[in-house]
Parts: sequence; C-alpha cells; structure tokens
Amino acid sequence: MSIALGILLALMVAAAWLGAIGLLRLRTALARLHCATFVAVAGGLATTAAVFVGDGASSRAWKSLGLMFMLLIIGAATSHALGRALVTRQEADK
Amino acid sequence: MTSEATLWTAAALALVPPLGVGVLLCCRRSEPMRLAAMQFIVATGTLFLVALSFVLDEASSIDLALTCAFLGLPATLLFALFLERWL
Repeated sequence: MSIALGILLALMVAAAWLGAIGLLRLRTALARLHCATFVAVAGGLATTAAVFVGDGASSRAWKSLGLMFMLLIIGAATSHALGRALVTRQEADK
Repeated sequence: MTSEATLWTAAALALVPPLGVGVLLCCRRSEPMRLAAMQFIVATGTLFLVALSFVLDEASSIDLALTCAFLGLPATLLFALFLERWL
C-alpha cells in the first residue's frame, strides 16, 4: 500500500512541479492559465486517489473527492472568466 | 512517524517550491500574469492543504483545503472583474 501511495503522491508532486515550470516558461497569461488547470486536474486526481489509498473510504476521503469535483467545476468556471478578462484586457491595450 | 506519514510529509514539503514560484510571479509580473499565478496558487495550495491534513493527522483540517478551493472562486472572479474593467 505504501508503494501505491508513494507513486500517487509522486504524481501529485510531479504535476505541481510541471505546472510551476510551465508557469515560468510560457510567455502569455492565457498560456499560463493552462498550468493552473493542469495542476487542478492532474494533481487533484492523484491526490484523491492517494487519500483513498491511504485513508480508505473515510469521511476525509469523501471530502477529498468532493474537493476534486469542486476543483474541476470551479477551475472550469474561473478559467473561462479569467480567459475572457484577459482577452478583453488585451483588446483594450491595443 | 509511520512510513505513510513520512510520504505525506515529503509530498507536502515538495509542494512548497511550486507554491513559492506562484507567489514570486504574483509579486513581480504584470496584472494578467499575476492573475494566472493566483489561479495556480489556489490549485497548488489546495493540494498542499490536503497533504498537510495527513501530516498533522487531523482529519478535520481537510476543511481548510475545502475552504481554500471554495473561496478561490469568488476571489478569482472578483480579480477578473477588476482586471476587465478598472485595472
């Protein structure tokens, strides 16, 4: 069980590091938004799986599952709003 | 400390540098970049708080992560509105 937990946590950390590298390397703000969404989706999935592996079907695990769904739904909504704001801002700056 | 707690501690510590990158970009770049960095901080910070609830071995502390994710929505929308109209 520790091996599976270790692999899932390593995936979570790798997702966060990849997102951070992308945040540093990508040029535009719209491209950088992808990094945040990637961390929310990939990291959220790995974290929820790790919580279920480490804790079983406890209340904390169910809360973590709800958290992941919230990250997915809220992440989609906020990314849309941010993208719209960024495009509006870019057009205003031209 | 059990091996599982050690793994969660290592994961929580490994999430600190990406969080630092987000904070650094929030402080130093233009407003659109700050907005993207803030979104990144919300996602990474939520994962960090989940890991921290296992490090502290306090089941109720996962509510901090839930609160962070939940409050990230109005905060980001408010920032986006300001960026779109006034900043």
